[in-house]
Order: sequence, then C-alpha cells, then structure tokens
Amino acid sequence: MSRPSAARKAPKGEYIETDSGNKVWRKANISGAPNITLGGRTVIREDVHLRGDLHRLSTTKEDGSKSSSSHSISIGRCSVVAAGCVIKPPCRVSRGVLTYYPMKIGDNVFIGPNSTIQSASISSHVHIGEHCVLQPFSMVRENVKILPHTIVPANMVIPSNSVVGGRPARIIGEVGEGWGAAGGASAAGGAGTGGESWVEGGDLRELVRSIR
Amino acid sequence: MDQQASQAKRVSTSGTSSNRASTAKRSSTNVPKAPTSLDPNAIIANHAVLTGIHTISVAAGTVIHPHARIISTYSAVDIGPGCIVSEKAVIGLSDLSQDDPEGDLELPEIIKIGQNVNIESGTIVEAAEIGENTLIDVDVKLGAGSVIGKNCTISACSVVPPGETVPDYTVIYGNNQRRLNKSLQSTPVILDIKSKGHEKQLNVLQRLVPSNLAKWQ
Repeated sequence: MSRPSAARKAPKGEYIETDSGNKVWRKANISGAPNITLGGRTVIREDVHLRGDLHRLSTTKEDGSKSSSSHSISIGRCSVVAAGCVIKPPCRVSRGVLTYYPMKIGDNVFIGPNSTIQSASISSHVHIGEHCVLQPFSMVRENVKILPHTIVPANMVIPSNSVVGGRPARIIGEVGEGWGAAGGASAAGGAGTGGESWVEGGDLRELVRSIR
Repeated sequence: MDQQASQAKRVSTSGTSSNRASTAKRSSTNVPKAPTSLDPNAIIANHAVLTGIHTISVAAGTVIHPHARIISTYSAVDIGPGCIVSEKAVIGLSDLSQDDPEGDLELPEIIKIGQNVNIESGTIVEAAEIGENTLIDVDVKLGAGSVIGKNCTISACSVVPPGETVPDYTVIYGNNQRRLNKSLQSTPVILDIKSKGHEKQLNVLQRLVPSNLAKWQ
C-alpha cells in the first residue's frame, strides 16, 4: 500500500503510473473507474473521456440469481488512447430492456487524437487515425488500419487485414505483408511515423515507454 | 485515526497544489456559476459545467452527462424535457471571434432546445433552436443562430453553417448532403417507437448517472 503515496510524491509527473505500468493522465476525465480495466503498459493521454459508469444494470435472472457484471471498458496491453478521445460503451434495446454492453479493446491498439469510440470490440494491432468516429456496436478485427476522419457506421464489422476510410467507412484495401512488423520499422519510419521507433499496428511498447 | 488520515490528506493535497499551482483545479470547479432554473427531476452530473451570465433552464427528465458544458455568456439556454446532453458536448456560444470575426451575425437571444433531443458527445451547439426528437450525432457543429427542425437527424461530423435553417424531418449525412426522412414523416408509428426507445434510454441513464442538482442551484 506504500505504492500510491510514492507515486504522489513523484515530481510533477503528468501521468499516474500504476503497478502494472499503465500511464493515465492525471486530469483524464474518467467516470466509473471501478468498471474499467487497463491491461498493463497502456497509456491514457490528456483530456480523454472514459465512461466506465455506463454499465449493464444488475438484473435478476429467472432462477433468482443476480448477475452483477458491472464491467464496462477493458483495454489490453500496450495500447495508447491519444488526447481528446471519448470512449463509451454502446447501448441498445434488447428484450425490451435498454442495456449498455461491455466494450473490449485488445493489445497494441492505437487510438488517434479526438476519436469517439463506441464499438463493441476492437481486436489487437489496430491503428485508428485522428478524428475517427466508431459508432455503436461496430467491430474491428485484428490488423486493421482506420484512416483519419473515418466514420465507421453502427454495427459494421471490419474484417482483419483491411484498410478502411471514408464517411461512411468502406474497405479500401488490405494492409498487406509486414503490417506492424518490427523489421519494417526503418521503412515505416520514412512513411510517416517521423522516424520514431514504433510502427502502426506493431508493438507499441516503445511508444508507451517514450510517453512520460 | 480518522483525524490523522484527514490531516495527512490535507498535507498531501496542499503539497500537490503548490507543486502544480497552475493546473491544480479541475475545470468544473473554477468557473463562475450561471444563474439557473432547474427542474427537480432533471439529472445534472457533478462534473457537468454550467457557466455564463444568462439564465440556464433545464426541464424535467433531462440528463446532462459529466463533462458536458453549457455556456450562457452570450445568450440564455433553455433545454426542454427529456433531452440527453453527452460528455464533451458544448451548448452555447463560447468563442465569438472564431465564428463571427466581423460581428455582423445576429446572435440568438435564447438557445432553445426542444423535447427529447439527443445531443451526442463532442458536439458544438450554437444553434438558436433545435426542434423536438432531433438527434445530433457525434462531433457535429451547429453554427451560430441556425435553426434545426423537428425529428431531424444530423449524422456524425456534419456541419450546419451559421444562420442556416434545417426543415423538419431532414437528415444530414455524409459530406453534408441532405434528404428528407419521408418514411418517418408518413409513418407516425416509427416516431412512436423511437420515442419509446428514447424514454428507455432516459430511464437507464437516470439510474446510472448520479445527479448533483444542489451544486447548480
């Protein structure tokens, strides 16, 4: 229990770092924190809104047992949520009751600045550009690149290895060989990542380490 | 024991505030409060922000999410019954210099939002009026003095220019294209189902979002 106080004393760190290496911006707008799981080494940057308070209300089942799964957002390892994003679980009417559904985001997912995410699930190694909107119950499979300013409509399923863009989003290509491959780091560095040592869709550990 | 703990907490908080004096206060606590007239059945989250000098009135059953901002610096704001204002949404004119560099726009005296309007996150509402049952999706910008009709759908990232009038039953989609939602216009049953869904959403939100009306009265 001495860890939190040690973290508080850290000289003007902008991030709160947890035991598992998550870095959360001090003033990130997080509501319902008990319902949010961060997998470790995940970064929540400035002005991000996480709506953990929108969870499934406990319902009494037919056999009288109460289901109390109040889990709402889980984010995997080494993912980065950039500045100004809004992440809130989707809701719909099912069997006459409006329910919020838990949202799952995988590992090594990069969510670009000012995006709004209401997906049902996002798998691993997904790169989402800036100002994207992922509408309720969209699903994103592995190794997907979502171009900036894309609006993914509600209930769309994006198959793995695809590139999507547009308003509304369409599949406009495949990510091809070497997506996120560490070996391609130098090549991808020339292709827009500014010579940094991380690749879109690749292992974001280096990026997470560089944020402090 | 309790005293000790609270003392320790006080010491530690004062320590952090001196370290980061410029960023110590949260945005929801250091802004001037607006004069308000709130219905006791409205839900206004603790971290919502209501600021300005004109009156902000919120009717019964409306849910204002945390970190939504309502600004009445230039005009009063009147939010009708059963509305949902999501996080990061801004209602009211905040920065005139951007929209109105010459100052020749006619500013609305009151921003009037009708019944059962759903305003999604990231939206900037500077419109003079929004008709009932209208859905304003994510990241929409409604320019100063625009008038949005009843039963409209403004889809994500659309922009309505200042002073524009959007007729009833309009759908704005894609690259700011428009069409009329004729099926909604001709079949009142759809409207009925939609309003039932909205009611359900309000009921759930009233249980999920803790209200702190006292803060704003």
